[in-house]
Amino acid sequence: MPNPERLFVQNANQGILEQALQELPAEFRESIVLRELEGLSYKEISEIAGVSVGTVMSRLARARARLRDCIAAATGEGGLTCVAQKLGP
Amino acid sequence: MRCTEARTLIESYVDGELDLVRNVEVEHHLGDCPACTSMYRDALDLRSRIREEVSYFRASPDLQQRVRALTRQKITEKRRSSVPIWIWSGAVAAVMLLAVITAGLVRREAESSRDQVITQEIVADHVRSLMANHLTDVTSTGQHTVKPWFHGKLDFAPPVNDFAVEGFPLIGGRLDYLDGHPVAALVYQRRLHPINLFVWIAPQKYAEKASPQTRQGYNILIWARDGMTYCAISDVAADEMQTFAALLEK
Repeated sequence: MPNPERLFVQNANQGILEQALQELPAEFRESIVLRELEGLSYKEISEIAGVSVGTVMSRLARARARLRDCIAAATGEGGLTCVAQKLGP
Repeated sequence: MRCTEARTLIESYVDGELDLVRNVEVEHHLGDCPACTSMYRDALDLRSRIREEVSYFRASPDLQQRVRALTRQKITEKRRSSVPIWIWSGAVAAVMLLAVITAGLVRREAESSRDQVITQEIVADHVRSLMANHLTDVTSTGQHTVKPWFHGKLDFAPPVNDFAVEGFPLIGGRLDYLDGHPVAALVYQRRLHPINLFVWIAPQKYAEKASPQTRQGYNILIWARDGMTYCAISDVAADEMQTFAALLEK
């Protein structure tokens, strides 16, 4: 049976991540989307983006760090789990 | 492996982008270090959250254009490399001749594309060795320390010489992975610039005279001698790289 609280948290999380991704600079967002949603390798991303593999690695690392920061800022120090804790009894 | 090094490699490890040797090293480290394991779990967690919670993102017009251009290029390359079907016309001899020529071209194209992949791997290995602060597994200026270090790790003995007097001191060596094989990476230095010299066993397809290339701002020299292939890569100026190669060719 679906848990309404869990559904609410999932929806809230989804909004936060999408917002965080949207706020990333275009080239960072592009690297994350190609890697995480399309499953491309660093080399394939480098070919599409027209940059070196080293630059892809650096963009991914910085994009992920920013995503973590955005999530932490939106949900409190503990990250996404804080939403669940705040919603708890 | 230390935590500082492991942490620079965790994301590449999660992405499945490390070579075999580094992969095993990170795996071992994670087995012993709860702090790095926690970072590893965080990386996995972020990945699964992105995959679960972000379902769709529209590519920017710029990205769409680049992907289309790349797709067009790949299709053209594929068409160019396929064998033409001229069975219906012309004499059998002409077809056979054409087939021989085409096969030669396809093989040359495949070899050239494989060379490009190897060069790309060399650049990636070089960049990773600098980024991960893992330039050397054995740090020594003594060729009599570095050379024996490779014993038992490789099935060949790479020639190891120190060129400190000539301005290219040996600073160490490490094991790396290239073209599906473990290779020796000897590390030299020109002032503050590290030079990676990869040595591996391969059928001699490179010339004995070093051929220069430039990739991503790095100067690369590849040559072959005595059944071994040598590749030097660095951001050192091209003429100094030639000087370095000349020392090794002596």
